[in-house]
Amino acid sequence: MAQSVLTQRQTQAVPNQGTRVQADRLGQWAKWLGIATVIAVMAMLYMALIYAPTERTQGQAQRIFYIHIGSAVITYVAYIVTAVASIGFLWKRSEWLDQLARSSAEVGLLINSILLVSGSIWGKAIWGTWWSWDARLTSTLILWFIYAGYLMLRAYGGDTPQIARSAAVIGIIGCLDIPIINQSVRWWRTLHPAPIVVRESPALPATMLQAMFVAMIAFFLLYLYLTIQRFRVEQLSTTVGRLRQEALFLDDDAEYNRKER
Amino acid sequence: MPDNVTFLFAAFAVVWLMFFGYFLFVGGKIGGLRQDVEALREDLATRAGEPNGAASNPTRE
Repeated sequence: MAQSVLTQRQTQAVPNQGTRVQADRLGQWAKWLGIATVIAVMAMLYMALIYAPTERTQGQAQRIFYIHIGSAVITYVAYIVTAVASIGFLWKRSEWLDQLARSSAEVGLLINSILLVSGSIWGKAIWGTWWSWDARLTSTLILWFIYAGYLMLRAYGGDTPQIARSAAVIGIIGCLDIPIINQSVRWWRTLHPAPIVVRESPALPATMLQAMFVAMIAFFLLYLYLTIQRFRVEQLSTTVGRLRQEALFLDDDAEYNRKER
Repeated sequence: MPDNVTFLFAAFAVVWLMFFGYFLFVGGKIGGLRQDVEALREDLATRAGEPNGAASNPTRE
């Protein structure tokens, strides 16, 4: 009897092997992606600090633009991935989609923080103030708070399906702030400049545009690398949970058989 | 605008420190969890390797 129970439970442990293979494969991918990311970051630093010309009115501070715009675009990408994965999770109830949404939101919050900090330092250099409650800055800060709330719910709300579903809803609704941020400089009078790249004739010289695209690629690779690493944490946590449960089953079996005898 | 270089340096330093800090944080978590997984696997393998499992081995009585 105990033999059959044990065999049955060992069979239940088989999916863990699959998770381990998947996590190991992700680790391999992450290693190569990490190398590509380091190369892209080096290229970005060269393009932003040396290759791109110095802007006439803002001077060297204008070079903050490359990390600022890179972080802005990738913040949107990260939260859109969270929203899409959350929709997928609510629809299919797949655990990995929930893990992806959570991983992307966490890395998104990091890049969103970088966006706010770099903007603040650039603002101090150019506008003479660290912060202004204008539409673009405020709506970006609101986005930060929405996803900080999402992550706090995940961290302190417990690991239950209901919390996962509630967080998914926040992940989707939070994304609605992105078009508001994007259009804020058109809808309201703001200190923040209107778009200078996405229009019929960009107001940037070709060298600056090239540096900007390299910065976006570097930020995208950084996002991808960190999200994969964070996703591995989720997968490994799940594996640890399952193995602990397995060990508890064996302890229960041992206890049961000891009493039987 | 000589002060502008200070702002440029501050922005780049803060950004890369934040990325590096998060990279170390996640790397540390992965390392810790991998150790937990290995320890738990070894523990389970040891128990499963015993005849009839640790649970029903009469020599343990």
